[in-house]
Amino acid sequence: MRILLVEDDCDLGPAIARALRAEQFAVDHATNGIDAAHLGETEHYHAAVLDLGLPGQDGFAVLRQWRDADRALPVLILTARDAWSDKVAGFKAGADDYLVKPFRLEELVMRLRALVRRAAGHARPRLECGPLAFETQTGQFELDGLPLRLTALEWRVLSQLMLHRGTVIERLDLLERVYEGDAEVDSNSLEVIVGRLRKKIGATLIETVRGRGYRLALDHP
Amino acid sequence: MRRLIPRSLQGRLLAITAIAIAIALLGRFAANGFDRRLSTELSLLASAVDADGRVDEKRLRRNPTHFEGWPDWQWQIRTPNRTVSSARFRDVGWPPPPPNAGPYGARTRTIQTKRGPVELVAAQPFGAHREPMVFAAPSFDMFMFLVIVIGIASFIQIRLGLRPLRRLRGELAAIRDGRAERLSEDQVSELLPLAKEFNALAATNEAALAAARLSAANLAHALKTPVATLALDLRDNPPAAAQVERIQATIRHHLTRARMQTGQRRPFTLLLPAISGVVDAVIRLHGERKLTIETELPMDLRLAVDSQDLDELLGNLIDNAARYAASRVVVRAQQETGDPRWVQLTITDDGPGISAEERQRIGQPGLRLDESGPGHGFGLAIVRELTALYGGSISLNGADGGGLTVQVSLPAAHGV
Repeated sequence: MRILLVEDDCDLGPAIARALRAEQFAVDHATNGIDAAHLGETEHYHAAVLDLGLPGQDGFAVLRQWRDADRALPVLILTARDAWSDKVAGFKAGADDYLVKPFRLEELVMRLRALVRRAAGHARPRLECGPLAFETQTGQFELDGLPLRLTALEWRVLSQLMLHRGTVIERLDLLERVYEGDAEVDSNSLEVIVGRLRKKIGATLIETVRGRGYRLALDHP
Repeated sequence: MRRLIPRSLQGRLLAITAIAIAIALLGRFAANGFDRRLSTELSLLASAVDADGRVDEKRLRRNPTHFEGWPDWQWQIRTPNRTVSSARFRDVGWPPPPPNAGPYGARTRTIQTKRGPVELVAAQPFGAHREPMVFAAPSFDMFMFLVIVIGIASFIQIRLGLRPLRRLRGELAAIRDGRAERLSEDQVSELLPLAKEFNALAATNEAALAAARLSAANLAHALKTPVATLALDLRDNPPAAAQVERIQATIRHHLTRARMQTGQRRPFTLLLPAISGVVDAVIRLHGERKLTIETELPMDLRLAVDSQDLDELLGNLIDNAARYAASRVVVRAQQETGDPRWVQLTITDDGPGISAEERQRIGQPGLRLDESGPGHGFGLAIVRELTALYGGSISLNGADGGGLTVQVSLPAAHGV
């Protein structure tokens, strides 16, 4: 899962980014409204964490710009403004969730995961596919009821396939949603990750669709 | 010390007018009364003198009313060969001083006869200028009639003249109720500077409030972000994290209070859109739960509550209810049937409800924001303080099927 973090505070921003990466998220960090608006419009993110008081242009303007450009990415406003009038204004501007600083990291992570899951069209927090299960609230994968240990890249690939299980995920789309914006991406790396995943969860669960990408098979025996 | 000057403008103006009218009328009527009386007397005296300059004393005695019934009014007839006077006539020489000039005054007339000039003197009673009412008595009825007519006229004039003041008072009341923002500048010229000064003062106050609000918001941002960073860094150190938690709670408490106290108090808010906005926000904040929030209220209900305060009230009430509800929250609002000046807001959830003791604890007016922890308590404490700010009331009741019903009455915005 790839997240756009928009936070101008030079201590809090990197701290959140570190904490989210520790929870397997790929994080792009923008520190002003102009960059944020641009990144949100051009890149593919699963969700955005948006501060309201930003240099360049404020969070409301950024959010409106995304919505005007028809970008439906789930947006969580993370701000110090805790008045209900601000919350109402945030939702009216098109936000999907609102968290007030100071916040607990667990709550931010839980809300982000829920936003991503709901945006993929799943109402229930536990996703299943044959022997594989994904507990979206904790981010934990299970295989035949046992916890599955995954690296960050493996987790991002598998969670994307799981969220859209049964449909083909284009290679390029998958790459975009797995790597951070400034990462060096080797064109073969995706094959390597999928290969390692197949070793962990069995060779047949992830299907390769030639010339297009990958799919998590629903009709697994 | 007793006040001699009336406290009301109307009273003062009336008193001044009454005194002025009394002085003018009295002086004039007394003078007129003397003059008329004195000339009547002169005519009577003249009629007692014949063409040969003889005084007909029988005739004088035939008019007792004028010459004996009024013993204070004196007279004298001076013919070339004799002088006839009333009993107490004071001779002060010739010519006597004119009437009203001092304690002694008289009018004179000279008649030419065959034997030479005859001088007639009609004198006012001695000292009459000090008690004109007593001696001008024959005109008293007319005087009273004029006093009443002029008195009524000036009363009407003062009522009309003070009407702009009453209108100004009405406009001020409208501002207080939130039906208007400024005094109109369509005022009489004496009140226009007052209206302008008031408007300028209101604008200054508003600017100061806005500045205070802004600095509270700035303080929030300035404090919360570093505290959020600290909280992230210290989350593996429970004792330190607990301290950070305390700092957070303190900031939250004081900022909430600061915001309440700087709120603008010229409120006028439509309830329906406010509730819709808050309900939408609460539904999204509880996006993970299956939650229905029903609302039931008249479209045009308006409250005399600042919109930010109303959002804060509704947000805390509905969010609280949503947090404890099993699946359903109902928000109702209606004008109180007995007293349309108040709007009754009812929020019901189907959650576990709270115990009677807890209900009493939370419902106590003495319980302050900083004494109530998170959850029901904190939200309801804010609600109670805000409600009190607007003179409303709050009560907590058990719902029919368990759950909690919170009833809040808030002032309706009337007029407009």
